Amino acid sequence: VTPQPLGGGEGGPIVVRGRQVYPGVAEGIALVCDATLPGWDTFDLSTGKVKERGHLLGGHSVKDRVLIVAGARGSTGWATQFLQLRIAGMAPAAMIFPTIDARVGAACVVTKVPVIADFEEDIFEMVRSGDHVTVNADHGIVTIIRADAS
Amino acid sequence: VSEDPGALTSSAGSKSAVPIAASTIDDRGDGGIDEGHVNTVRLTEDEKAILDGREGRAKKKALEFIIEYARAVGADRLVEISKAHIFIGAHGYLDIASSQDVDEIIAEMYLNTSDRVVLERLSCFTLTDATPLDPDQWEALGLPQSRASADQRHRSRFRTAGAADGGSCAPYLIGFVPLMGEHYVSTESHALLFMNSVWGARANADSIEASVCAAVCGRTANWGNHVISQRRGTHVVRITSSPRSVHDWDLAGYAIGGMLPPKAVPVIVGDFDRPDAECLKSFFASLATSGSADMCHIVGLTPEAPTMEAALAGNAPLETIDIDDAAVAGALARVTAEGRGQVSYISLGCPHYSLRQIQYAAEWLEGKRVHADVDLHVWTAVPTRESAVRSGFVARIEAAGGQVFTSTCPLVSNAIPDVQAMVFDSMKQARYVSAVTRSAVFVGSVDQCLEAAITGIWTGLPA
Repeated sequence: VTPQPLGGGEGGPIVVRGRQVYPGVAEGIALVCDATLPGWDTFDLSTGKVKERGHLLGGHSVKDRVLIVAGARGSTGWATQFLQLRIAGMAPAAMIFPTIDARVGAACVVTKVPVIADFEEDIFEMVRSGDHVTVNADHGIVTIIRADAS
Repeated sequence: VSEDPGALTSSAGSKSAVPIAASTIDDRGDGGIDEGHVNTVRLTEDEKAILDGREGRAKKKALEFIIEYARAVGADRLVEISKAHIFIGAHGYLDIASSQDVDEIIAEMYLNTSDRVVLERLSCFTLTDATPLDPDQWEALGLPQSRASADQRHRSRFRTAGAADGGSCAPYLIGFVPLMGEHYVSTESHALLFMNSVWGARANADSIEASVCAAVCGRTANWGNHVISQRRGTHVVRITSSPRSVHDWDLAGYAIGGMLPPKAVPVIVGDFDRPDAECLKSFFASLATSGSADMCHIVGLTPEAPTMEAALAGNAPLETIDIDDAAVAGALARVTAEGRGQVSYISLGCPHYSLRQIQYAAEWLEGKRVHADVDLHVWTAVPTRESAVRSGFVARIEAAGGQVFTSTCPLVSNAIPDVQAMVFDSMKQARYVSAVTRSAVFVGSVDQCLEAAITGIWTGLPA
């Protein structure tokens, strides 16, 4: 399946369909990395920044962003990292994962933001950090406006 | 809040309150939702009764969590569990909770609700995971009275609800024994990897929150390792580094974990003799640190892998990964500090030491003396320490100048000493401690660690 540009012209929004993981609709600027995040001491809770040294997202805050990462590694405390983010007011606006495993599934429930996963396409081919992304989990639709297209 | 499940909304704070019941009943109305993209979770009559609130509000809230979790992962029904191993106690991460009240903390941090909910009787046999402190020796670890008091309140609350005090990350060594095909939950990533793989028991590495909710409502999502077809091997791992010792297996596990994608189920073959339980304890600990595997087959050793073909269920592997000497050395180099020098803190026992490992350390230290500038800590579970006391092992370690603590570890107790350099016999402990300290963190075998405890010098990695 190839992405369908809307509006007919180049640079129009890209629409990708997936499965609702957690309901709701939200939008924001994408923060994208095709690597996993660790499961303990993951975020600075006063800024929402990823702490791991050497990680592509290290030093970037997930607050109000559409977080798009490969998933989890390490501790079963992965969901707890996102629970802490929500309580600290540092949660992402929405999240997108290529696939949902046990750690990520639980994290979506405690974060309570819209989440979509299980796309036919490789989501990392479709979106880059800085793009404007709308996650309509109620309809299983991700809409991407590329930053380099505007 | 209405007790009518048809009017039930997702927990407070959600921007889009979506009817849970709408996704749990086959003939639901559309509710404005494009149903093709929403997973349906079917409930039994008993589960509907719990959701109705007929078994109390805590169970109802816990089941709501499990239903949301089941929907998130894509399960079509729930499964009853027989046992739970849960990470409770006044752990430091709970400090972010909005309240100091134990019941309100439990509601917010485990049951995912800001509603007033009081924990009632847990639904199955429940054993506690590692706790924030050694309940008998916390002062010796320099931990504050306030933490000990808070922890006592948490443990007491869960004991009242029926939880047994285990206080170990290695529950399979102290009587938590789910057999082949048995459904359970555990908050400890390596422990469930051990019990799933070695015993054929069934759990997923989901989370603290989902596991506590499962203990409360007695159910989890019927998905992942609970389902035979999802336990089959996906990736073949060929080990050519000839692992023999616990340390060798610790390194191999770390190397493998970093090379597996999410949801991979590795099938291990290689040039090794049968690893023992202590080797696998460390192998699974590091495998579940650098990666996210929660099921692993070892051909000829684990029960669902009598042969490679059986482990893969006849499928071709998605990938074959080679773990050679270079891969193992690379894993160690990613975690341990370089160089040599004075060390003043040595920690053994992540995951918690078995009785046999304590015996080994005790006999190794016989007639020796830990360096005056070194603290040597050994970590284990309460019943294991008790047996070690009765066997004379603890006395021998203490006579040499070491200490044997229970129920926690440097990382979980947040009792990481402020020293220049420290040594661990665990890739997992070293990896996590490295992230929260400026000390040099070295990793070595138990022999290298004990040698450093005696000399006060880390001599570096063997050439």
